[in-house]
Amino acid sequence: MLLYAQATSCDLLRVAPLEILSWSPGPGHHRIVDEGTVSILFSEEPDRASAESSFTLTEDGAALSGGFSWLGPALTFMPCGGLRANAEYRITVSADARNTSGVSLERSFEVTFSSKPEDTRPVFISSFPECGGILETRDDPVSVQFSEAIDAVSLRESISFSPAIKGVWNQESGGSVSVFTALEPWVWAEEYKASISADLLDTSGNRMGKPVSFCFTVGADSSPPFLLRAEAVDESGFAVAVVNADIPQDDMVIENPGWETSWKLRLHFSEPVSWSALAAKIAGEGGVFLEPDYTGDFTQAVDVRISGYPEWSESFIVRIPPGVEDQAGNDSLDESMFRFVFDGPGSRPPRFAGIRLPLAPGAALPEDRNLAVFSTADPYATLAIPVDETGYPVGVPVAASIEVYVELASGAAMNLLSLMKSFRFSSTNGAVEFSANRMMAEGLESTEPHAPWADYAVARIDGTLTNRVDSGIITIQLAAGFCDSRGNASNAAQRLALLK
Amino acid sequence: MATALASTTNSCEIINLRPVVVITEPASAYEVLASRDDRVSVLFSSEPERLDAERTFLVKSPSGIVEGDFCWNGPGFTWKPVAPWDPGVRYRLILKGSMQSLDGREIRPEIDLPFFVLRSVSQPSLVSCFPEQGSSIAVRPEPGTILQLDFSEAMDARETEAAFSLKPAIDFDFSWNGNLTSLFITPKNQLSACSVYHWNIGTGARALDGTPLGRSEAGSFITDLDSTPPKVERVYPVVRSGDSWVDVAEDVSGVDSGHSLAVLFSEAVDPVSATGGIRVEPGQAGSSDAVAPRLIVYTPEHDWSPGIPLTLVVSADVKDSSGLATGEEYRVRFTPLVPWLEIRSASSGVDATTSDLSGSTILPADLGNAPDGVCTLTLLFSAPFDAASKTAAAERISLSSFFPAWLPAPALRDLCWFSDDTVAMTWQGLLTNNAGTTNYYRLFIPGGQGGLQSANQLLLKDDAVLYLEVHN
Repeated sequence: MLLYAQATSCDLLRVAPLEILSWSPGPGHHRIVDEGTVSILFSEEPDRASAESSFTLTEDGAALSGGFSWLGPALTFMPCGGLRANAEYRITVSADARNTSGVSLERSFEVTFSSKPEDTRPVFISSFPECGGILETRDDPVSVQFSEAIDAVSLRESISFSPAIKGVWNQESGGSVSVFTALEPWVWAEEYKASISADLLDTSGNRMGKPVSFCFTVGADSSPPFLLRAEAVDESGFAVAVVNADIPQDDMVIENPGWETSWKLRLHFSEPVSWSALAAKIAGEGGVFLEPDYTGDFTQAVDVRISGYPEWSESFIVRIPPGVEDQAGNDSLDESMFRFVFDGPGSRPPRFAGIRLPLAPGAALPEDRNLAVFSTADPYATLAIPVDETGYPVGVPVAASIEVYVELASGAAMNLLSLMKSFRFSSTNGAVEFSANRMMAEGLESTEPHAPWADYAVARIDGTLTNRVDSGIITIQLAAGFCDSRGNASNAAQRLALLK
Repeated sequence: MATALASTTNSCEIINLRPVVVITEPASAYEVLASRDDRVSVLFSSEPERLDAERTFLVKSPSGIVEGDFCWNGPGFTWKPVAPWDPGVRYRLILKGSMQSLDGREIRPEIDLPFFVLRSVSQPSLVSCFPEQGSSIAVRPEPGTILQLDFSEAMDARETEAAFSLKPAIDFDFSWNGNLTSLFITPKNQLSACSVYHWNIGTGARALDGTPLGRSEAGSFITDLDSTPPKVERVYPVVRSGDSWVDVAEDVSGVDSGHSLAVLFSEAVDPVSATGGIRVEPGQAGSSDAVAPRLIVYTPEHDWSPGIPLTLVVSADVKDSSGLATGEEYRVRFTPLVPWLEIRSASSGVDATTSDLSGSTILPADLGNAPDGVCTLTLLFSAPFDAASKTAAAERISLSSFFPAWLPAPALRDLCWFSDDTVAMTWQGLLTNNAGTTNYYRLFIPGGQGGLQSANQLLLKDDAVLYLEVHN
């Protein structure tokens, strides 16, 4: 076909160009209903194949496939799956589209429209806590307010916390307020940073465009607990002594002497602290075992039971390391240390002082019985046993009594049962035999106690002593575990060795 | 039907000035090829320079130029795409440009033919999906469909499944409805709670005739319909009664011998994590059973020991049916009310009775039935004994000589349980005091674990020791 496309001087000779008269849905924002189509109205019926081949519809930059339908000069394109909400569309018809006479569009055609309801970017308005603020408790939620409703998926993928914490988002106020509830407690006193990506979308698919972040700290109470003071309390719970802490940093060693077995250590903190944390942290040195009394999960004053004491008069240490937490999760920062000397007078173990026995038990008058005293402080003293009739004839069992003197803790009495269990009399070379038959908590009859030991407890052991001809070493022993009426026990055997 | 298209020739052909005719297959717009493997063809009335001809020929689809291979046969060629044609896709056979025929004529074809394969109607599309984009869904422990995709027509299951993906990646199964229009995604394991899952189905998904999905589709859903983690609501003692558990106290302050501990959660919990997440410290062996969706019962392997403070611990990893964990360890401290077994009294005669068996008491005893040195001691316990514990008690209660050391050991001569809590034991061979001696015998009853036990396993807290001083 011959074309006269060059003619410009005479309108009568001019061939009308193919034009696009209108299109739908038209520029701007459109709510998508049903599947959605786009249409192009040509000025005349075009060559359909060329028009279709020249037509392109993109959705957010990606070309869509679909089907065409025609009604006269009107082309309708139905994209596969229809138009989508919150997308940017661009319709292009290239200049290759022509009419049936071969006359093409004078210029390519390009228009855009949007299925977004609006194109305003979401804006960060505020947060709670605000930037630099404080989240009061470990369970409090964090909320973020935006200028408009935020897309639910984008919300979850665009906001992160550092350190990471798992939680759930809920949206309020129509979606403009997002509330994050952590699924585990926030770490106390930790500073968290919330980062909101620039890719955050509103419900129309508009990006926020610039990142936002805010920091906050967990915990209105940031004061760590500390130990105010300590004291010793007796069995009744009454304070009996102030306990002084030893400060490791200085050169002084502060000890607390006079500790009694029955005492407890009472600790006063500046605020309630975790019982379990204290029980896990508190430690003893010198063999002692410590056990805080439980009076609740959090307590401001704690009584600590102490057991497993060292030898009487030796020292032990109680340490309370840092890390004892308060109700808000603040850990104590300082270590407290207490040195004790386990030398309370009421806890003194019974001390075997010595014995007194008559060398002439057969004498008629008590004053003639020739009492001999032997002290454990003077071992290997000579026991010169007379063999005359009033003494201990060789090979003859003689009824004899031995006084045993024991220095006891104040308030304690002789425990005869313990003495029965602990008393041993032995000799080498078969020098002497003694068989105990009776024990009594009193001294020899008609005789005053040995004056230097008048304050000591005395027990009388009645038995029979059989002297032998040979010499030897006599040992009188109170075995380990010998205890007084209060339970104070000696840890080691106590012996009195004599030479016969 | 083939149609001849004339191209203009303007070369200086002395002999032949006729235009070269080009015949194509498909011959006209919108023709539909019958097979995905069909070839298109171009036939020239005069053989062209083949390289020129190939340069002017192309096949386009909406996604771009289609790659294929030429096969020349004399003055024409056929062309076949490397991959089979996609049904329903609008292809264009384009032959445009200038070429020379071998006889010197210029060929300027202007051919642009849209065509289809198998069908010219629209491609399959995703009609709907469930859950909808951005929806919150519940996570359930039992297997179930989490995603349903509905297509506009029956789909090729294998191709469609291959085109589907889900992130984060999980193992899942596919299933289809009977007419292959709906695809169901069922995870093999429970989804993670409070997570965003993204799915995608690409254009590799095809209808039964091979027509690809018109566009790739994507969506997301959030597993946070349940956003409330489980909490321990209450811990209280229970006892088994038949097939059920019965409350016996309001809270752990009422835990007694024979009781189990019921842990009531605020919602149904995962039985595996819950039964594995409950323990009693320190070192109390026991087992947990899920007796109801919200209720776990912990039963100690051995009965509670009296007087020992214990702590029930519920791990922070106990999850609800949605997979949400408690997040924080729960601890509750309690001391079972289980009493110690006590010896209420020890009596060696009408006027000689004591309840102090701490080892510091000397009980006078009358020696009867001389010269056998027989002494009877009656013990009254705080709890009853059964046959087995009575037998064991006889083996555990002993009387030995204590002081003087030379005292001969007594022998058990008789034992009589007056009632389930009162036993009279008779020893012989005891010696009385005389003028010079005081004789003591030591009654010993072991306490603690391994010691004396009553019928309901009550224990003596400590060893019981009593000294007897025997008189005539």
